[in-house]
Amino acid sequence: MPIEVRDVSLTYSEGTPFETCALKNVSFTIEDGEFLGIMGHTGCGKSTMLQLIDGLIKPTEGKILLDGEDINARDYDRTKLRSAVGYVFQYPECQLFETTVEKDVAFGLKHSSLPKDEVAERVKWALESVGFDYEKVRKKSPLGFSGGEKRRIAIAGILATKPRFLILDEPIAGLDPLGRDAFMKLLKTLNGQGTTIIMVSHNADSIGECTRRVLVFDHGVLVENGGTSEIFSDVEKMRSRHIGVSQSREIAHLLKEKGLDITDKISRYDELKDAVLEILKGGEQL
Amino acid sequence: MKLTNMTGLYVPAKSPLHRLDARAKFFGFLILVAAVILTDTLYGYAIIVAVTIALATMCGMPLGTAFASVRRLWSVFIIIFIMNAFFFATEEPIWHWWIITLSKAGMLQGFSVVFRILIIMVLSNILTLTTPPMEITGAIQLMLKPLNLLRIPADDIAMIISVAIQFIPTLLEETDTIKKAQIARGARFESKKLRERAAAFLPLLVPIFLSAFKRADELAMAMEARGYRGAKNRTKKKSVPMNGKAWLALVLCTAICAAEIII
Amino acid sequence: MINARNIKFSYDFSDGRHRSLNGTTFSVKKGELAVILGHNGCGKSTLMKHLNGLIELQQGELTVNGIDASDIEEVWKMRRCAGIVFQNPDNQFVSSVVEEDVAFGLENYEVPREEIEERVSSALKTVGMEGFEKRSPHMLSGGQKQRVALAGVLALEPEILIFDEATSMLDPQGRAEVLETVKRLHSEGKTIIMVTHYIEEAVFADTVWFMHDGEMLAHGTPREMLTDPELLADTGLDAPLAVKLYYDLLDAGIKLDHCPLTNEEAAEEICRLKSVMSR
Repeated sequence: MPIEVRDVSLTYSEGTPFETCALKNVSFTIEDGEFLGIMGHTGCGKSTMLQLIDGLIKPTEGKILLDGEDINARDYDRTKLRSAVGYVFQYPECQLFETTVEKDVAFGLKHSSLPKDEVAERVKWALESVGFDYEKVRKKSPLGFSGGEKRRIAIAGILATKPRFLILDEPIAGLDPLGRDAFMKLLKTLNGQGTTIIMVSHNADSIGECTRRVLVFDHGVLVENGGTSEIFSDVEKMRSRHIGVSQSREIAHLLKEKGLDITDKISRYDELKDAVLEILKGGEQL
Repeated sequence: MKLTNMTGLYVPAKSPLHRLDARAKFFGFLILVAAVILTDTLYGYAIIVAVTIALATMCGMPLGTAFASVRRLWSVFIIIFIMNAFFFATEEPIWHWWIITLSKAGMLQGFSVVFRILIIMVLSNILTLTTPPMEITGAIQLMLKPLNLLRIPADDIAMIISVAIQFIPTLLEETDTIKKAQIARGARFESKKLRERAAAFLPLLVPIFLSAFKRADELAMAMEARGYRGAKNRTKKKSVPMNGKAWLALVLCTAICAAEIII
Repeated sequence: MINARNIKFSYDFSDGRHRSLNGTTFSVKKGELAVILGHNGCGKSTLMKHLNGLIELQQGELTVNGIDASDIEEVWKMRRCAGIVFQNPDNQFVSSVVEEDVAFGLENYEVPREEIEERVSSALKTVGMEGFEKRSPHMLSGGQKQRVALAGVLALEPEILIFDEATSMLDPQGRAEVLETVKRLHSEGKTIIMVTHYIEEAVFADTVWFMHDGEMLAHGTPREMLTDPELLADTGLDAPLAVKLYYDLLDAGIKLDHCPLTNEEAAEEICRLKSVMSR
């Protein structure tokens, strides 16, 4: 079990009048190579869950295991966790601080024992994967770029550490369509190369397109855990949770309501397109 | 959200303190702060503690609320205490090594400094918990009025203070997020090595400053868009004279202050 | 209502080559809901800041509700005439109490105290936030924050409402709340300009403008604009899913009668074709 979350609960401000329960009895596992989506309305505990996985906060109860080891155990070597998990916060462009792009991207490698040329190689690879010309940008100040570019630099900083698990909190919020597409493509490529991706997003379309499995949180409780198309199949339930489903699923749902014979197991656009083609082409043969 | 309750920001309620005239609360607060600073005896301390606890219970909120932000700063208090206790120059040290001198006078000094800061913080929490910021601004404006004679823009200063206050929770939350983000990137705030800890502050400070400037810039734009042209030409608050209760509160505060000085 | 002709603007005065606005021509009629679409950095926000005098006109002509933007004396009139709701809900509050914040603009224009109370409560009612008067904006959800910010703008009773990417930092629920309010205000006859890069938000506009590199590429009804894949690609936008499906079906040799704009229309078109086929 690469990552296992076991009976985790978290309570804020315990023992004060402001006591709030952020997470209640959450258990799930994440396998290597997965592309996992996490959904839920604002304040449902999804960002808290990510921070728990990265050991930034401790659960009040329960355990989080990485490769079978409790990451909150006293004798646990935190460097293992840090090198395994890369965490892209929401609006990561806010974290940039170094004088050059190169230095900022290399920040996460500062404490690693990698030789200098290996660090440079990684920085180059990371900047190129997010679509930059390494030679052109390396000596520039990261603060002089536009919002979307800054975000890509910040993400390069996380990629440079070559994490096995890449955690992303609303990575496409505020990006324009071109930025969104390019970014989702990058995630798919990374996933294809073996990186496990865990993505929190409000955007049902990108969750529908990219993920194979989805966790849904509601008021701190893990209410759904299953295949993306299975979970998207119950449109009404998803709506009642204020999340909604991908537009492709939406159209399929409308078609079914109108009496067409179309499967409920659609989350991606290509699935919708194929299903519609089958319906219409099938009609031709009649 | 989780930080909001710790910063001592205004929480609407219907307690006697909430209903009290903001000006009375503000000037009463200043008088009590003076009392805290001026007092120097055990009785004096006892009275001021009693007054503070009484006020905290009058907030209409659980007692812990007014103390919440203080609790988080315990390490700072310990440092202040140690600095005073060990570096207070005195004739009769209990223990002495190199430049460090532990003395009874020093410890007393440390205690009284920590005590005063603590009480003043709790009092200011009580004030901000029970008074909407705009009303505090009004009171500050009143206090700064004489500055106008010296051509100092008192109204603008009051506005700046009130806007700054309302940005505190956002900035605290942001600091927390950036800190976590940098830890996730490998910054070592948790490190035992002092050098690493010191170096780790840059990744924290630069983004916070940048973000604060950006926010300030956007806020200034939003304020201008809504017609802000300096605090002078704005609708004046209704100038209702202070009622009997408000005067009574002020007289009480003054009496407490006087009692502190006499003891 | 708004007439902009050939506006040019550069943030850096010394460098006229790199312009944020490069001859923008744009107009909005009274009671119209205009949506401006474009990718990040295309100059949308710069243009909006011109409309209420936050940015001084450098070159070109601009009149807003009959007020000439080149007349610096009139800037306060213009500012009151066009109210803006900005992108970041956290960076537009001056007070930590909702009603005080909504009153801020009114106080700036020295509206009498008695009138302020009335207008604050009616503005909060308009955005569906009555009952939140004494709350702190920080404790509200993103959508609620933006609605309070909108109330602060509405209280000034501006002729024109501008939403400068006001939904881009919100979750789907918050976006829906804000859009609902926009639609209602529009049906009540307000002139509204919405800047966005969510193409779905352009569907219910009267006029859609495509902006690219400081220029308006084209404008027209949502149907004209959003069903033209080439135009969309030039602007750096994705076609709505229904439009994409229409063209992909076309490639596969299936032609729907009309190009649908919304998901509902797509479903209808497909059903209609299916029933024609099975007949």
